[in-house]
Amino acid sequence: MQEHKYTMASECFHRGQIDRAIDLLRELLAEEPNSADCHGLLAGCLLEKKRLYAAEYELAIALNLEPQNALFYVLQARINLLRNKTKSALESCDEALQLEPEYLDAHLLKSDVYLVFNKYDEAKACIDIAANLQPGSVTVAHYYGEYFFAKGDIKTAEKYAVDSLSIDPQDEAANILMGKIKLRQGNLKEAEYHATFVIIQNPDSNSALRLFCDIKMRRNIILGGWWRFNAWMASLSNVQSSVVLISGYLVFMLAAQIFEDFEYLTVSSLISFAWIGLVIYSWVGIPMYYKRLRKELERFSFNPEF
Amino acid sequence: MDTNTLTGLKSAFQVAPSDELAKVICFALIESGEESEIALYLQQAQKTLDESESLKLAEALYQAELHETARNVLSEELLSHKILVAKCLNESGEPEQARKLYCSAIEADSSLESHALNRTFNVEVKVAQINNDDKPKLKVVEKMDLASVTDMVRYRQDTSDFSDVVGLEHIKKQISKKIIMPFQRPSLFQKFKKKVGGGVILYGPPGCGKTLLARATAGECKASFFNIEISDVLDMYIGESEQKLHTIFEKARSSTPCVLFFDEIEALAGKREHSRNSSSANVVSQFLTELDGFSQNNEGVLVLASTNVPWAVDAAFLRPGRFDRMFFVPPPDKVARKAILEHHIKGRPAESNIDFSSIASKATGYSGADLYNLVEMAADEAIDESIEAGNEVVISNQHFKNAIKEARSTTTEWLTTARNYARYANEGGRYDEVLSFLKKHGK
Repeated sequence: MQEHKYTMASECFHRGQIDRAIDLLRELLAEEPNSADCHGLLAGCLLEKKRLYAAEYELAIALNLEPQNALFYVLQARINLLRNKTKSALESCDEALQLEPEYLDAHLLKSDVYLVFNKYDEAKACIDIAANLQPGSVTVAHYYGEYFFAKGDIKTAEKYAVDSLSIDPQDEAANILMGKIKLRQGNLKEAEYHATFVIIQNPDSNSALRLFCDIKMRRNIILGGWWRFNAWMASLSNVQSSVVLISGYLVFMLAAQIFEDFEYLTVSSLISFAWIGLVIYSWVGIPMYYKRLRKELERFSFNPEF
Repeated sequence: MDTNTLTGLKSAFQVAPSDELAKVICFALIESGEESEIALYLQQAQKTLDESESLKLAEALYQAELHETARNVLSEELLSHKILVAKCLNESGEPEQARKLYCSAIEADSSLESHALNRTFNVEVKVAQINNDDKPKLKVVEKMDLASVTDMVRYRQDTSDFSDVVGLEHIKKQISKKIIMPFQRPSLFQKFKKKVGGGVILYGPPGCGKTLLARATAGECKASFFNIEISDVLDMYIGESEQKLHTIFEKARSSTPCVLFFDEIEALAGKREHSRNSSSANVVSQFLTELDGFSQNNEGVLVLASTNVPWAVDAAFLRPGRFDRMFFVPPPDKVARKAILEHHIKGRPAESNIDFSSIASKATGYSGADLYNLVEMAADEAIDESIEAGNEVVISNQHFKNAIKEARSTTTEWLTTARNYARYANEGGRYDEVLSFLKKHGK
């Protein structure tokens, strides 16, 4: 029964039903609190939800229970990379590779870390090892593309992006890479096409939304700013939104008080109105953003003659 | 232990009797084969014996046929002792009690059971009870005969023809030239060593008439039409799906000219690297074998298949000789949309002056199924209005205008995905038709 539940949770995770996977894993852990696999998978789920601290906590338990599991170190490396702890990320990758020298993900993640350091040769060496381990893989082709993109060799990056798309035209990372390349080349229409293609498939894809906002910014900086602000607001959880609003309230009140003390009463009242405006916007802005986004996602349109 | 030592121990016991010494003497007596004397020391020795020592001592006494003495050493409460107690009881002429004790022992621990003891105690071997509620896990698959397959496939004589398909003129022409003509003039094609039949895949967005076109093709070929559904082939028992598939093809070969139509072909011919178990890969292999027709002649059998996801079909199916012809069934154009709307409104109470041209213009990208849904929505609006007004309100332009605000085209998502495949994974020009369609009609 427990094994079945774990398999279900794992399938949910791979299908992108992260919340369901988290629920199943929490139920499982209530019955069997010392299951390293459950803690590890839960850490993976939380990582997908960008709940880094919670993921780190679960991963620490998993590693404590099973310190010889290379996957846990790769997860640790991903968390560290997202928290900009690049050195620790590199150490975690090395740890994983010590346990499993042919671990593809660990090599590719290591290349990611090297790219952050701008250590291009080391990054390429890692991707080369991965390419030997799994030739013809869409992920490896995409990593080569990312590597050349980071180096500024857009033509070669495009070649690899096309390669990865020819292996799997629906691959999320490959489409985002192609979008970034097209944006760099100034082909905004194509870039937008790839970004929206990913958003249609996976509305939770932060990278695709970021690319989409970058494209909007390139077209119009004010409108782009609006997109970016709303995308950021929409990505916040309920708790995060409350924290933002409370912090905003404090900042606005403090500013209004200061201006009032210095007898800039007009500015002070303007700030108060701005605060009210922000609160109202936080109610109407997000639905407006989603409505607009839905319209933007209707990418394919027919000629009026058809 | 030699005799002198044993005698020494016995003397020492006489002088200073102790429990420990009594135990040592008991085991020394067993070792020297003088079990008959054990009874003298047993009472005192018993105080210090643990479970295993008592068992060892009792076994020695049982071997020496001192069954009663052995029984006194043992405890009926201890599971490890129970079997020996039972043996002792049996030897002491209490078989019924012995049998009961043995049965209780093996019930508590089935590993204690042995055939020899079963025979000794006259106990019958238990047969595992099968729960009648459980279904048997395995089933013997017998070779199916041709007659039984008629139950599985829907044999259709009353197929439609191209006049029933609105629009799609280009694709009808292509099908007519490449598929129907070989059926209608077989001798001409045979003269040029051209095969009649083969495999054709119709692909396109959902609801655009692939199934209808397949039926019409069969009707135009004047051939029998077998509509094979996934449930006709897939079976929960290992090996049976392959057997069913083979039988379906056998049936088709015996009733040429005929058309076998597989809807949603990706369910049977999906990429093997994506299949999670070997049994679905076996079905794919069997399907390939049947299409090749090495051992049987597939002449006169046209295998038509339709799919919304041609990229999910295993590449082995698309090589020449199998499904070597692929036709793209696009969404209907303006003229076709108007005709479809007019077709679906027939028989419903509607105004005669409904502007179908204008509705068709607004419904760009709508599939046949979307258009049917649009008519249904307009009809619902009219029904609601009739209920509110208390008299019959016929379907009007306004109802369509309201309905089109709610309705959505379902083909754009498919075309967006197909565009990526056509641009980046267009091996051998497989999706050229999609590309040219997008180029011609896309904005």
